[in-house]
Amino acid sequence: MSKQTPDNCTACTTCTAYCPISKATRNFRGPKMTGPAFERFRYLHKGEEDALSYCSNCKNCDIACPNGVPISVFNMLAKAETSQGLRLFARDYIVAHGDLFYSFLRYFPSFLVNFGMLNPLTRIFLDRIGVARRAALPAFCDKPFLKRLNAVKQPQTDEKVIFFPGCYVNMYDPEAGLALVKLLNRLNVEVVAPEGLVCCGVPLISSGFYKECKKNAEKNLKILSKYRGAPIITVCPSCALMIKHDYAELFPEIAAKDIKIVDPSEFILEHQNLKNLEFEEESRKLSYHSPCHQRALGIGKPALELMKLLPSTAVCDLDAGCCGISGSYGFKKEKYRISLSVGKNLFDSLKAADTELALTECGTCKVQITANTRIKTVHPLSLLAERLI
Amino acid sequence: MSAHYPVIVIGGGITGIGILRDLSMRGVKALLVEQKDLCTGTSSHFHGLLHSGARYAVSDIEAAEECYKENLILKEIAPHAIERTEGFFISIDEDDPAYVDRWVAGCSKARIPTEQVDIKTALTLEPNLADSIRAVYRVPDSAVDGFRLIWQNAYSAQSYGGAFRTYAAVTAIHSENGAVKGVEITNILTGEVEQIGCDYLVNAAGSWVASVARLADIPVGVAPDRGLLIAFNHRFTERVINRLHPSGDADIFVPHGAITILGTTSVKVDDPADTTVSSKEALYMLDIGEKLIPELKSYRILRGFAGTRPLFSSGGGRSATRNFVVADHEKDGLKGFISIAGGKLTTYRLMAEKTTDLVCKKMGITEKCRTHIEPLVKKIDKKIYKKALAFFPKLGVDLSISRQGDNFHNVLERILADHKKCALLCECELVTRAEFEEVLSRSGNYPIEHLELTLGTLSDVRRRTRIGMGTCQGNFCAYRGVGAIAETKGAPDTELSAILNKFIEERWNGIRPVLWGVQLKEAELSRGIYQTLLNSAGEPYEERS
Ligand SMILES: Cc1cc2nc3c(=O)[nH]c(=O)nc-3n(C[C@H](O)[C@H](O)[C@H](O)COP(=O)(O)OP(=O)(O)OC[C@H]3O[C@@H](n4cnc5c(N)ncnc54)[C@H](O)[C@@H]3O)c2cc1C
Ligand code: SF4
Ligand code: SF4
Repeated sequence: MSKQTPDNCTACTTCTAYCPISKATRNFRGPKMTGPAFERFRYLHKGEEDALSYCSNCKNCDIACPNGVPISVFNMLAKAETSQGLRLFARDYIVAHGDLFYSFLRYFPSFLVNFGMLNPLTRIFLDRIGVARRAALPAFCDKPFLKRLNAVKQPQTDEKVIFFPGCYVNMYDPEAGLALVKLLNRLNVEVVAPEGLVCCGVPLISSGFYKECKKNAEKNLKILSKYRGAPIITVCPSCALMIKHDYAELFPEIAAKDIKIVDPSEFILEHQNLKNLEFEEESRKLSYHSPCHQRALGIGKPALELMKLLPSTAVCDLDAGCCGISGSYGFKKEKYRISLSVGKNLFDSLKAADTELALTECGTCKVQITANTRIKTVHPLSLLAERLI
Repeated sequence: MSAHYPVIVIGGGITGIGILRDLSMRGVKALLVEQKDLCTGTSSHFHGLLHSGARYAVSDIEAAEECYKENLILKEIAPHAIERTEGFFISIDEDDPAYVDRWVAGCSKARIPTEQVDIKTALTLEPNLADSIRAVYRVPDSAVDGFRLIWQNAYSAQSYGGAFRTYAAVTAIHSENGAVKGVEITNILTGEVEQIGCDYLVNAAGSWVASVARLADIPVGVAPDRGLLIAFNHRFTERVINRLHPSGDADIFVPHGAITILGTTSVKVDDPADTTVSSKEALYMLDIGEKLIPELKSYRILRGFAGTRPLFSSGGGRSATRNFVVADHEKDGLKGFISIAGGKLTTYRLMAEKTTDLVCKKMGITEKCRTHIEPLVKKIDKKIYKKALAFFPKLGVDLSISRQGDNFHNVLERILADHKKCALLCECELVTRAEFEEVLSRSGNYPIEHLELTLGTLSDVRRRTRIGMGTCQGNFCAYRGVGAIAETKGAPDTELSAILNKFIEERWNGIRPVLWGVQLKEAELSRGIYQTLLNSAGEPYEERS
């Protein structure tokens, strides 16, 4: 596959109408401009559209485009081409390389690490380098997912799925991964988590670190292609989207064809042993937020279907757009306000729905929602695992 | 006679406007008359290659040398109209390998620098080329924009006191005692007729040279020769790409800003205005072009357009070079009448110099030509550039300066006075509302009724800004443009609709012959906006029963 051309764009501007950032700030000229329109000029090497850094890679433009233009990919590739400016480099390096920092820090007990990361003095330092002082940062977990998985006694069966943990599950929210393991084990499926998988690269590419992102893609694809044919599952929609679609568009030269990413909710719903799963009722008022990258996968909202397995429990589908965080975007100082104004509609809808527990697949959406509504938020699978009889 | 000028120049193409500037710089008072708008003839219906001369290295050494010299001069004096792209000459399997040696020898004889590039490097530099290419040479070709070049010449001429009138066709040539006395000009929009006196008359009507000379019963041998060009939606090469073989059809790709143009063909025609484009000819070009750029047929075509070359055939006087001819019709019995025929856009300055030399000699003026040393646009003040960066991305400033030249500071003034004016009216070519209004304020020489507008106002602005020439081919800038016209000029609705429809029709004309693929989708969007939503066809409203 050769590099994508901007030819499919008919300049209809639908993408700009759907871009949450364009709506939040006039400084961003919108996806049509930074994507296909500017792409036509990139051969001129006459400098970049300054507004490019506003793009959060949320991919609502890709979802809206009637002509299948890979707009966000154009944006990411262009970001990679431009230097990000030295002042913000340290910040962008930190938010893009959460995995590296974790591998340093994991030798300290998590409460100490989190104290170090989240105390006011650290926050002043982070603020100086461009991490918004008021943004809620996720807290590192105590024991990474992979360690905890080893402690789980799984059924020894022929049916195996390959699990791609991703940074979020591995570093911050192992519970979501363990919930999947619990549910799949009940279906008599074994979860294999191969050694050596690294961050899928979404935070890297969103901050313009193209080479490193490509390295990660190569590492991951090398490992994953050993398991040709077996379903690969991740509970993070961004990882899924990256591996399923974006690797091929960003790095056509290393694309691997027979890698089968399967959505966990779909996998469970379609499984022959589905009847093994029995749940007890959930009495709290539930609302579901479908993350942008989940919608960009183009498979609807299977988690909502899955939640129907909970007896006599209703889930309100918020359908309120982007939460504004977009991975590490909302942590960045100059983007913090924009991020809040993007998420406002979602926060208001959650409150209006009298939600007691919010559900969403994406780790950083969870942080954003809880920080701005004080409503507890979990992965749908975590709730299901909790209610499993 | 309502007015009198020492010199009148006929034809607002590059040759005529080049002559106007040269005359004005030498202090000669001159008026240029053009039957339509400036840059509506061949100078806007051409390929945009600033020849290095390499194309003529085997067939015509003199023309090759001339091109190379002018190429070097124009790069210095017209940097805002030229992209220094360089060019590749590429030989493929079916090309005669022996020709390569003859060509290299020809270039070196004409002192055109060439350099062989190894295939791997060439493919890294131009990844869209076919893997099967066999030999690649680098030459100093460049891309030149006819619109910018003409407007920069025109504004420069104006600053030296030169004048021009558009929509003014010469319909008769007056003489007395075997000497030119003046011309009759007819306003082609209003039909108004006017007589203007002159001592010297320069016929620079390009492919129309013969028909203008015929007004004075003088035969000039110029045979119009039509060539087709295809504009693609995006730029897929960084440099000009030529086939290294004896010049043929569809063997050059020229990148311009965001687009690429493939050309051309060669068909004898009777009428210089015959710029018909056929789908068959377009498909024939794609078949050839595909040999260099294998993905070519998957790329989106914006439009097809054709121009007629003013090929000099015979007669009419002394030959300056085989490339072009300056004919003094005193020898044909009419004193003070001069025709300039043939040539290429690349050599326009030299043609203008030779013509002006002759006029000055006749007038006894000794002032020397300075067009080879004096830039068209003065250096843009660094402060203005810096200020502009607050409102545009860098590329936007560069593009706007390249289009508006010395007038860019007016664009900036408009934005400083009202920041909202930096909104993009045309997103495909990055034209701000301020730039549109600045150009609008200077266009339209002939008022219709109470307005300073003409039916062609939007197209006049298009030629000075490139609105309507990008991806959307006018879908969005047309109605926005008319909105801006309404707001600044306060025109009545019926006239605004007429202006809008004329513009859209013109855009569609170039699209119809290449209406397939994504361009068809674009046209459907256009039809949806204009014919359905805005009811551009003016279908009467029917009450539902
Ligand atoms: C397909 C094609 C590709 C080409 N590619 C290149 C290239 O890549 N590089 C290059 O250097 N050259 C190229 N050329 C040649 C180049 O375009 C022409 O030589 C050049 O533009 C001619 O300019 P001009 O001013 O003489 O003619 P024009 O631009 O045609 O100007 C003549 C003007 O005279 C006006 N006129 C006619 N009659 C009257 C009248 N009675 N009263 C008033 N005005 C009148 C016309 O309206 C017209 O605007 C190409 C030509 C063609 C056809
Ligand atoms: S990825 Fe999101 S922020 Fe970026 S242009 Fe698309 S919709 Fe806008
Ligand atoms: S990228 Fe898609 S949605 Fe956006 S303007 Fe182009 S065709 Fe329309």
